[in-house]
Amino acid sequence: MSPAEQIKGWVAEVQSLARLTGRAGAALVQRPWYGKEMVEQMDLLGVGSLGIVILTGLFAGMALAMQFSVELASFGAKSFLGRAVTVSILRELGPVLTGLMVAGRVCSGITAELGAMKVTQQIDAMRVLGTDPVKRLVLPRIVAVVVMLPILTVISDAMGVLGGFFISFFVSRIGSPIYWSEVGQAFSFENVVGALIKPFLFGFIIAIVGCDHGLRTAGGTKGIGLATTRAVVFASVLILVANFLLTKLLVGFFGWAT
Amino acid sequence: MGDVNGDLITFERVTCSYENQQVLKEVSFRVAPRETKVIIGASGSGKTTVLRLILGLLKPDEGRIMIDGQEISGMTEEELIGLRRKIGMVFQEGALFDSMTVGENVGYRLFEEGQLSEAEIEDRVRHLLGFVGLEEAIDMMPDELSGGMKRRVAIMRALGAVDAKMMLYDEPTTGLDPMTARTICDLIRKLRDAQGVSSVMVTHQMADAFRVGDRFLAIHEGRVAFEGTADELRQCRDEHVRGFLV
Repeated sequence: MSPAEQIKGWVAEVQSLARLTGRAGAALVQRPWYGKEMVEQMDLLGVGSLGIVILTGLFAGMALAMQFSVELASFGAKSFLGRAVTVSILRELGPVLTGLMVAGRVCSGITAELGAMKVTQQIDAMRVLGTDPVKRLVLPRIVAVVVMLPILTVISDAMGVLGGFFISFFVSRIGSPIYWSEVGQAFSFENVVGALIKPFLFGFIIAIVGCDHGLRTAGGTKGIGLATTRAVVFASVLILVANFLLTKLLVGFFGWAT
Repeated sequence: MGDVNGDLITFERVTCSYENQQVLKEVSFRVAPRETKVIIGASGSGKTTVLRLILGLLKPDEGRIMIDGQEISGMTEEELIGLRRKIGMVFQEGALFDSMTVGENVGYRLFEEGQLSEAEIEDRVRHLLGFVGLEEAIDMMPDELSGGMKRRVAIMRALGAVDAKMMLYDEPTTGLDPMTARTICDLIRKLRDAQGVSSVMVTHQMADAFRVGDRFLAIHEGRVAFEGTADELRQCRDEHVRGFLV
């Protein structure tokens, strides 16, 4: 594929996402809303991702604390470990890592499920039976991921800070009151707001990319595999790009020193 | 009911492209009330595209499609939903919702509309399943059913969902053993005779086509190669059409 074709393909992807976003927006203000389906999806996509998010947060926090511990010790500033770990997790590591992990699990699941429905003509059957697939399938998944990802991110952040504490207490031998006091210092208004805004956007990206690729699947089981891989890659790249742009906005808004 | 000629379905010089390929070229035909029209043709000749156009799942590039007196080419999805209430569609392989039970599949539209109580819907679903001898399968999942059972459930889902004036069948007997295929054909005829439902059936199983069809339409490379009755079809001299009969 030539670079021009590749760029054309990416533009077409963004166009398709924009179209589906518009249709999902219209579905949001029209009945029916399929509340039961939304709750089911929250359980399946959100609660089902709890294990992976807990493990990710815990081990990322421990690794980060180990790295910071070595660097801060060389400045004689080991007591600031709690603050360094918490700020890093709240502002960047928590939202991005959770977003990427959930993208891997949830985006692929959504694409595979809707893709299988597409190639077995279940989506067409739904339309023929008078149901708009955007209302019945897409909107509940968007709402579920957008609601659940911030909650998962908070849990991941908490596990990361706890992981940092384990390293701080058992490896770096920093007293528990010092660590937790520094953690408390990191919980400023702007850090908390920054930590909570990002997952909403990342959740939307995961759901809309998964649904869009699923609904455009063609070519049987091989097509489902390809669509799933593409969806996860596309969602992950979009999360990283959106993270950069959002960080730039937040830095400008809160006046964080760069 | 129907257009000015009383026809339920009218195609006038319909051309349609799909994935940058012209699938149908200036196709014209009509389906009268209570008529079963069978569309025959090789794989990839555009037979299923005709059904998708009737349902508004695809839009034609050129030409006019009238369904029950309404021009559908310019209709929005919302308007098409209203129109589809009059049409039942049985997809190839059934296209049953695999996360729902047989009962939920057959009662899908009724559950969606929410106008009947669960008990009333269950009664109606049991009645429909009883019609095809599958009342016992109401709580089974689609992947527990055989191919023939899936098609029968799919027919009942299509029929139960709509105030059916017309039914569309996409290769309903392909891949089934002769006995099961005969059962499906008998069911299609029963629906026409007992309920006056018009049908369009796409198939390349000629024995089944002759069993249910009143009139036949042969499509070759996107164009109409033949249209007429069973006797006219048997006497047709077109080599592509004859290729199907032998």
